[in-house]
Amino acid sequence: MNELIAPALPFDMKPRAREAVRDLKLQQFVGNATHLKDTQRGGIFGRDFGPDYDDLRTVARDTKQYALDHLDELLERFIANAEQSGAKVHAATTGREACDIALDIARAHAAKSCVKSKSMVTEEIGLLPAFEAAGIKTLETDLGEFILQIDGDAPSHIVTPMIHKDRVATAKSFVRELGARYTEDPTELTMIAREHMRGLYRAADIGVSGANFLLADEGSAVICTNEGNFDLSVGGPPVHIVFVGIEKLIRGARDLAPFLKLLARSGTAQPLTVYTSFVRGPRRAGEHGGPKEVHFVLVDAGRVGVLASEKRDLLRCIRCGACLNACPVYRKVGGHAYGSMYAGPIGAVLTPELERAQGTASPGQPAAGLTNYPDLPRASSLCGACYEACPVKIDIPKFLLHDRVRLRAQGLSPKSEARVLALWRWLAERPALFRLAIGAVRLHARMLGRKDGDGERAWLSRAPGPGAGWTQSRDLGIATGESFRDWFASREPRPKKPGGSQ
Amino acid sequence: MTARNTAVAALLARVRDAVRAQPVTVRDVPSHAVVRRVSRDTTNLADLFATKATAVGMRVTRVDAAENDAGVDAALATLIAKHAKGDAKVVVAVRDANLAACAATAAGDRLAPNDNDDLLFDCEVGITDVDCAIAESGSLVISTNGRIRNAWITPPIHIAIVRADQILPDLVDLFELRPDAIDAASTTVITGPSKTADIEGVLVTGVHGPAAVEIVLVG
Ligand code: SF4
Repeated sequence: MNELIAPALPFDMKPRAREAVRDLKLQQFVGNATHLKDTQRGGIFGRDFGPDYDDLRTVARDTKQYALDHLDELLERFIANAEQSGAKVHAATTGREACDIALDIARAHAAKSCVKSKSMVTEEIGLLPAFEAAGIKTLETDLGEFILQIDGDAPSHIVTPMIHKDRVATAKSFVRELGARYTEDPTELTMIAREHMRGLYRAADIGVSGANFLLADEGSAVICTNEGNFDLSVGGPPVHIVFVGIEKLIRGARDLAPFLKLLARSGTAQPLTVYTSFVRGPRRAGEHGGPKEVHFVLVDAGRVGVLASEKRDLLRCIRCGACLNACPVYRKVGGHAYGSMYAGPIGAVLTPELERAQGTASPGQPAAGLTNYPDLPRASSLCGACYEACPVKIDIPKFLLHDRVRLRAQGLSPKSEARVLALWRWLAERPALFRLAIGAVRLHARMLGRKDGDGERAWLSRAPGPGAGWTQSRDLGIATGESFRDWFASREPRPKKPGGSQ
Repeated sequence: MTARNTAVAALLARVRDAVRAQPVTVRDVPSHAVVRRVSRDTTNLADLFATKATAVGMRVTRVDAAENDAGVDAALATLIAKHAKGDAKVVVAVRDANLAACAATAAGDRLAPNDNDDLLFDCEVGITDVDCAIAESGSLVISTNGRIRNAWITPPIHIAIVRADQILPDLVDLFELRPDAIDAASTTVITGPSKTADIEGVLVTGVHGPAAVEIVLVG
């Protein structure tokens, strides 16, 4: 598997973050793209839902939470209905098992080639390397994933996987890998990829995809794309395999509308994704086209453990990517710094949790998830932007804090953190000294800092001592007004209301 | 029991235990009334549909209901002439017999035989009707029931015929009023031409599916 998203453990985030911060191109691409998407998301929800936006999120939150709280019932219903429509349902406890199921199916059909549409869970289980090792040539059909595939690169965003790459890199790999002529024009590059893939769709023996939702009532899978690559990869080959995490289940089509409306708006500021496709079993008698066999592979890979834990809420995630776009940390460090296919705020909590639930740590080690990813809970400013952006209201900051507490309890927090907190506490217990110290820091900062024209804003471009790390890639704002304590001491006492407490 | 069934049963058992391990926090699915916001007060669904479909990048040609088949014929002929050059073929995947006849007439000798799936890749234009349409998002709902699968995806141009009385106000209505539309081997809700913005966020249409979607809206 690609070590960018499946690194050696324990994973050290810092070198990757440092490298990303120094990469000016990456700073520009990821910074601009996320900022734009975040703004557009706000815009479309404002226009289309106005003050009802929050209610819509609450509805989605509760609808998905209901599904998780009743997942056993829904799963049973899904399996019965899917089999009724002629699909075959499989279950895999681990990623390896999921791959083996697919390899068995491929072998039964003597499959040599596969067309695959974008799916996070297949990244997670390492399907591509497994297929390649078995000699099944696999084509990523999502344009972004395709470019990453031919470059041996890995996705760095849930929705826009090649957010970290530019057109020049794409142009060069198309010349190198496809023998195309050199062009940097995105339209021409896209058309080169289109032509390359059309023949492969026609010839493929097997189609593979993920799913955005599973409908228990209907026994169907729902797949959202903008490119139409899913429909092409399911329409041609005689066999189609859908890999899907069990948390994708909802009651049925009757509960689907809020999610579809939220998913596309949150991810890419569209009212709906261009293609929302329903798969309900194999081709029926008298139909033209479509697979003769449809398989659903239900993937656990840690999800059952998360379901049983106090982090059940995390399984509500519909992978819209909004929290990544909103996150000030993701914007700086990019996706690869998280060492997982799930980057950004949701990745920071989900990756260690899935890891813990799968219990892949060396025996005798407690809470393997965090020991293997000790930096992830701290990869956040806890500003709450992810929670605000999340269409299913996952309280990510709460879970990050929870993990930080666990890190401390396990003695995995850095020593410096404990020292700073101890110093802070010591000072805070001595008001006079506290005052003096804060005053000194303020004075110092004002002497060193720069001001804008009217003196309203001031900042430090290079902070001294322990603050130096912070200002390496950003400025440190300096409070310019009076301090809270001064303001508090000098404020007019509030006039007492006549007639007592009313 | 096969190994497959055993594994499925084992997963179910583990999920059952996991569900019980935490308290149930949501006992009932909440009302989805708020979801309808965009389509809440719509007096003219055809107009709303045309506006929204245009907003997502599809083109709408309106045909007066009074003109009937002749109007549809003429609109289709114009669109085919616009998009099919040289010896380009047209595939017709229309379930409604009447409209299918119109489409076949308009396609004339460009008409591709409809009994060969592979043929889609050689067609320039795919003509379909729809199961229904959705005003709020400007979407087309097309199922494989009675239509050649992917005739609306594979050719570079898609022409869809929509009757005004097929337009539902909201996506919610698709699932509440037309469960038959998603009871096919496959159904696709289409909201615009095929799009990507993977390369530096630049929007490009026609990456895998059609670069242009033309809607003939009757009535
Ligand atoms: S956590 Fe919420 S905002 Fe982040 S990807 Fe999942 S659903 Fe979207």
